Amino acid sequence: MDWTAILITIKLAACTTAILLALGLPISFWIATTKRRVKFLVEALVALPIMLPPTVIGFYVLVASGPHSPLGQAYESLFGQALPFSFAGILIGSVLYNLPFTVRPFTSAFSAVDRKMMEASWCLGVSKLETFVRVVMPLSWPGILTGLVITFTHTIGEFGVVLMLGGNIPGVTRTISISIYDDVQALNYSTAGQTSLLLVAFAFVVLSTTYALQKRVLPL
Amino acid sequence: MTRLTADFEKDFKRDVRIEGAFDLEADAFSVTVLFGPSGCGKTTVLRCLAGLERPDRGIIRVGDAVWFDGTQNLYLPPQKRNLGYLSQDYSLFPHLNVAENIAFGLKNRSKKEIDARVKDQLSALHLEGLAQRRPSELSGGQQQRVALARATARQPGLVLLDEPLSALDAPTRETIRRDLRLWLARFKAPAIVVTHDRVEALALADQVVVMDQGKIQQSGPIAEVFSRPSNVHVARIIGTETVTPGLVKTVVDGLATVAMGSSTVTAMADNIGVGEQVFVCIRGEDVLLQADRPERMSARNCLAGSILSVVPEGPLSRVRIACGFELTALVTRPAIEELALRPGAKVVALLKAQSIHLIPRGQPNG
Repeated sequence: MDWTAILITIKLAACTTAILLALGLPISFWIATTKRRVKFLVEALVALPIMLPPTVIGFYVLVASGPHSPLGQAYESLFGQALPFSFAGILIGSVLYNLPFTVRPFTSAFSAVDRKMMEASWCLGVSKLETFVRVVMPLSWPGILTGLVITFTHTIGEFGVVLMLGGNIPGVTRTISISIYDDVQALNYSTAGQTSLLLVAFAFVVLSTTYALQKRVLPL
Repeated sequence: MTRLTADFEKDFKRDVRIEGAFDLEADAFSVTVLFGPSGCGKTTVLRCLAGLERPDRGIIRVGDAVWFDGTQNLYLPPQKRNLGYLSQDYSLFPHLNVAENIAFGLKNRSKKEIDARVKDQLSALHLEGLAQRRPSELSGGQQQRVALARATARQPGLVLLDEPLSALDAPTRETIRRDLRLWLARFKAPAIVVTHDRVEALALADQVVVMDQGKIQQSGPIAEVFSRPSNVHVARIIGTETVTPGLVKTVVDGLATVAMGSSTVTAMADNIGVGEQVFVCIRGEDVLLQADRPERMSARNCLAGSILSVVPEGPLSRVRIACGFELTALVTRPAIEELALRPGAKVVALLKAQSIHLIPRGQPNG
């Protein structure tokens, strides 16, 4: 098995999950609580990656971050390195592609929190941010956890976006699913089978643990 | 003396406009009841005072502090208003226990101070021994008291209660209704209570604001508003023509003798004790008028008096009678003619004990 690829994959999944936790909380909370009319547009935009093939996302990120785009040039002058075919490149693609898998469970968790709970907290003199931390988060953490687990697991199995953006550089952008693809291409079925089985086992263990935990903890 | 003055409007779609107006002493205890049928906009008015809804125009101020000013685009969030707000369903935090719920808004204090404050609140609201329970492990009445303890823990300058008793079962409601006024009286702060329940309004209120379809119909001292509705509309909302304070003198065999004005009446004594202050409520259609005093009858009350006024209201007329207190009867037009009822005429009013409803009022001082 390609242990380097496994390490890269875990690193990619962990970074994606961490970034999406930070991004997803405010976006989801805004979607769950706003009364503004533009909400449906933001929701549609966030959900877009569910409908699009990952290659499309990968393609656009590739074009947007390439050496001919202002974004790509700015990145290169800042970090002295091009974005495509780097770890940062696949990370950006992965974050964009996973956005709905984080935001949707977060949003449904936040929507389930009765607005009156927040209002009660505000009327007790507690700020909006503190209310979020002390009331909203404790009441919605099972949904937050689900979102994070789905994001992490989903990134582990990432293929299209990584391939488009990262190519296949061992030790930099070569992830598990790409190593499986390579093994199959090379008619190396036994290694591909082992790695695939590992992925199936991992996904099953993670998901079943999450659901088991949720059932036990949810009824407050 | 600081005053809380408010006069504002909030617009809704389809030309619905809700208005609110108050003028209260801000640093003394008083209960103002916002009374009206369901859906008349009472809750919206309360939420505007809390800072949970923003009025479209008008002003809300407490002393020198401006909470809302439509012309200057000034709007203070609820966090800055130092209030206690109790929503209809209490909204206790399910993930925190009773003590943590009560302590939730207590900030910038030492742990010792917070603990002492929580303990005070627990004992004031008879919640000792429940400190470690989760809200889901409490009865409706206990939840209500925890919510009240939480809302008042910071000793707010204004207490806002939205239908505080409506989520309770009838027996609990009755017990808490008696105590609520006493609990609120512990704070040197005005309370504004929203209710659609006449009995609740009478048990709690000093002042009442009667609302209907977003408009303030009448406001003033409760006994005055309830016994002298300014229009037919208010009279219909209130549904009781005579509301007079009284004092329970004796209770014998389930019947109470109540002194009111210069006369006494006999009423059913449900859960009423001797020496209790009550509101005596009599519906106008339950009053029977006669020219002379009958010799024997089943009705326990026979009150002689003279007519103050006769005001026609559709097929019925509203007859006000001075009989030691002011009694209002609703009678038909033929009856008016047959008995020759006109101002100054002598008349005898008959009332069954069952038709006189007594509503106890908790007294802050004894």
